[in-house]
Amino acid sequence: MRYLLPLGIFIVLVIFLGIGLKLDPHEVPSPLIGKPAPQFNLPQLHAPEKSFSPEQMKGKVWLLNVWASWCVSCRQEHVYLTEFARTGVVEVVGLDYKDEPQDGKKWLSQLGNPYVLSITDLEGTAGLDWGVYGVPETFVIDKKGLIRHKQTGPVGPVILETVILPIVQTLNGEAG
Amino acid sequence: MKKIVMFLLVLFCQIALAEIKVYDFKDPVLELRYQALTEELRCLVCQNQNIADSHAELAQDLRSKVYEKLMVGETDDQIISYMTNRYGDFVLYRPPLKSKTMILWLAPVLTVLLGGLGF
Repeated sequence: MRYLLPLGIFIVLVIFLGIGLKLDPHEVPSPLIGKPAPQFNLPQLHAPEKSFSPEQMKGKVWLLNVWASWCVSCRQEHVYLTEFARTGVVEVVGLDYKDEPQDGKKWLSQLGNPYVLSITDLEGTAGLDWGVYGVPETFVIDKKGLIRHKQTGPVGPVILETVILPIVQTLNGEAG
Repeated sequence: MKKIVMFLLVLFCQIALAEIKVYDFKDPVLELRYQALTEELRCLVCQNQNIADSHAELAQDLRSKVYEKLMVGETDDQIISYMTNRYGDFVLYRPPLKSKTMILWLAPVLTVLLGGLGF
């Protein structure tokens, strides 16, 4: 009986520490979820004379994938993202973050281009407004132009199938 | 002797290059506010450093943002909310008292009280 209380405290402590171990401190919840996608007007990577702004995607569910040719884990997710985009389930826009346009173009021509278009964010201004702190990052934007989900870090087959795809499907069902 | 002097000069050159970019403030009050703000804001890349100490590129960007905003006369609150609107309360080393952070603020007091009760 006298050991019951210390045992109880011990168990609670172990549970809390266990939860703590499972948390990823690098996954910072974005305050932008449910808020309108921050606007920007930036040149397109492959057609610098044309610009892109998130407003142009209104009425569509789309993904914004933040990448860069200097980013190692972007290379890792690229294969899966390309495969996912090829299914045509959702349009993916790329944001080439703090990257030289020629490096970005070379990267895409070597590894394949999953994006309907990419945007050049040379100074990282759009990235700052979108709260980007570690590339790659992937945002899901709904038909009304609200950010509904953010994935920090590389997306693999599991995240694409079990997280991104269901969200896209639900959002496709929503009224625009 | 000359060689040694040259060698030392080269060494100092590198030190100068490695230094964090220093912003020029004409107004000492602004400078103090800049120091306070950058020490209060957490760098999201190297999470145990504030943006004043960090060499990460994001920290550099955020420092220049703070400087820019101070120069156009924004208040500390405006700058802090600019940061939290983008990165959440996580950027603050002292999180605000909210229902979500209540346990964080109350846990130390509760622990002391529990201890006082003889546990």
